[in-house]
Amino acid sequence: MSAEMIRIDFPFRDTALDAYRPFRARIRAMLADDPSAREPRGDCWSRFDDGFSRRLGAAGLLGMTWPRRYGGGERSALERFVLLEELLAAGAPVGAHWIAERQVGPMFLRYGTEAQKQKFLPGIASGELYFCIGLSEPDSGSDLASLRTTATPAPGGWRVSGRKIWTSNAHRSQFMILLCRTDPDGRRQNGLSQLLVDMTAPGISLRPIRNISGEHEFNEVTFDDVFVSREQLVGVAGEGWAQVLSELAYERSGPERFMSSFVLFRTLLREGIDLPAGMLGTLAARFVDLRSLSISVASMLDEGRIPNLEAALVKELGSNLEQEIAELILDHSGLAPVPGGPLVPRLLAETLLHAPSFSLRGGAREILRGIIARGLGMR
Amino acid sequence: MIEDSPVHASALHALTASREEAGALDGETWRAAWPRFERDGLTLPALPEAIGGAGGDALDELAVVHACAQVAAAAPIPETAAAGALLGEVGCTPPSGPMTLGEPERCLGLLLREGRLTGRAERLPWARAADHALLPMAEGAVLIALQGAEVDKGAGLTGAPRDDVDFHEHPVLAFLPGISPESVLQRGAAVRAVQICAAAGAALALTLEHARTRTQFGRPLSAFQAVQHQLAAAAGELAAARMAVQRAYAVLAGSEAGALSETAVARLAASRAGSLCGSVSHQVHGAMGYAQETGLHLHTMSIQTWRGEFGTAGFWAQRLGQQILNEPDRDPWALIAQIQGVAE
Repeated sequence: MSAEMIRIDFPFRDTALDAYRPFRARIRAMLADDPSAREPRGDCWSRFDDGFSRRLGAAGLLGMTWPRRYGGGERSALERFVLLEELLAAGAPVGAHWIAERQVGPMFLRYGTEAQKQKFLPGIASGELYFCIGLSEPDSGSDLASLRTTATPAPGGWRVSGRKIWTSNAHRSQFMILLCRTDPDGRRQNGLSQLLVDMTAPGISLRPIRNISGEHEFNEVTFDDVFVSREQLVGVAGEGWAQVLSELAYERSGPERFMSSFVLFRTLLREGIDLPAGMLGTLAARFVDLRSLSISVASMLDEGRIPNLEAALVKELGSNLEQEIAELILDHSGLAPVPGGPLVPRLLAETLLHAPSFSLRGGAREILRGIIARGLGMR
Repeated sequence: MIEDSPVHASALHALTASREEAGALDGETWRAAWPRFERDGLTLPALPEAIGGAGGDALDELAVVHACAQVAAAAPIPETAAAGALLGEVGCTPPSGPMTLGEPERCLGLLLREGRLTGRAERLPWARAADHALLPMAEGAVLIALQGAEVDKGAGLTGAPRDDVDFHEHPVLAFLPGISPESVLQRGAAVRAVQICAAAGAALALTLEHARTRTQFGRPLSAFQAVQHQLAAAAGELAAARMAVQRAYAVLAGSEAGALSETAVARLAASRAGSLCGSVSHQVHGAMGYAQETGLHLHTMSIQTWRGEFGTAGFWAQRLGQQILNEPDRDPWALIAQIQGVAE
């Protein structure tokens, strides 16, 4: 009988985060006073409120872990984790700055030129610069490496043609980080680059895509011979795929990957609505589990590691929990979901309408399971 | 990480060297090896050397218990370790030799009168072959020698003994009011959580190996996406359970402050992981896993036995839920993020 153990490396880390209690208290006090955070939102990660983002920036709460010379605070990833989890637990509208702060900033820090860092990081940290991500295409979703948007060499840079889809907030972002093919001889993951695109550049057109809750969250973005200069290349030409992969650990591992239904769960209880005690305990325990795993990943990122397997695992477990909660509350709380209705029925509606996306965004469940299987040595 | 613990490695080594004895489903065989287990520091890992322990802490106990379950050892090493730890905590030197530990819910029929025990203790692991038993009662725990007790033999799902014992004014070696039934419940539950995790991991490891080597339709089972996805889902739950179990033991070891009952969280995670790892392991092994000779059931059916001991998932879930409902604000966040006392 084999005595081998399966190695999945989640270092055990303290979860009380006692050192950050004063910081946490400060955040909670700030949120209690902020008009944007008064009404919890069930879709807060995608709710765009540039005033709120700017206030967070002014308080030094965006880009907290970045070097001071770029507008950061040189704080630890765990302190940032405390901020994120309090924002999400309160259902505060973080959608405007979310993508830029979470993954574009780290991308610039890792791959950007000094000029790019100085130009963009301070604006992200102040909550004024917003980014969208150009990855998926109409014919390239989970199979991202099949993308066809192409950057053809032109004097001083490239001319980009193609289409991106499911681009969150493209209509409200000043810039896009675009993954496209810069090497005509490259196939699939080879020959891709990340280009920084100015959303006001000539040749870009947007078509709004409403999600099933009726909100204009996504867009289809068409590039018709859009000029992008050499200076707008991020990192190394042809290395775009590897660069994007390193971003994914950031995108997949934060508390938003398991807390999307938490506002509903928390608010329901605080408003005096009951759930069977056993169900309540079961759900609370899973939050504790996911928080422990997420803190472990945050600490690994802080140590400079890129824990792709572990981040995929947390996202997979997290999306299961998020989707199950919505259904359990629907079945057992006695409440009906009412879009735009009173607080808890509204939150239930928002959560249910967003729930299908929890196992799709940031990597579909099937893809994540493939990554995990590879990490287990099966592929 | 459990696998990085040197105590875990040496326990595995010792148990593997005594594999036949450790896994024996008859008491005589493993009793012959018991002095070896004691010498290897397996039986009382969390107790000081001065009272017969290996000089480690609760996390070393986790490592030893994990190793036992990982290799499907049947001997009551985990029970002895847990009983020993409970005794040590109240300053009582544990007796040498194998011990078993009763569950509060299964010792409700016991009566202590004038230093003698009467009544029935149910489903005691290895009562037929252990030397001593630590039995929880409302007023405190009793330590008894099993010699002379009337044993009604029974078994768990793998054939591991679960004996009902009838006491008739049985002499009590020690009465320990400092060992509450709650403390026995917590310790026993933590041990079972570790065991379930270890068995789940062992089952999954066997399954990965099986999937790699077994071919059908011209390729190994591991090449099929349906198989990959099932195992990936199971591995995720196992990772969550391992983390929860480590946290529960860190609180027991005093190195972590706790708020929400870590044991409850660990038991819930372990049950979830055990259930999925068990069912996926059987599914991927196909009929072969259903044959006794393969031995997969030693892990999967141990899980199904342990899940119901020292509190079911339903019991622990109910407790946790009630704890939240008892909070003044009913705010689960305060408990989940361990932030009681942080001003709003």
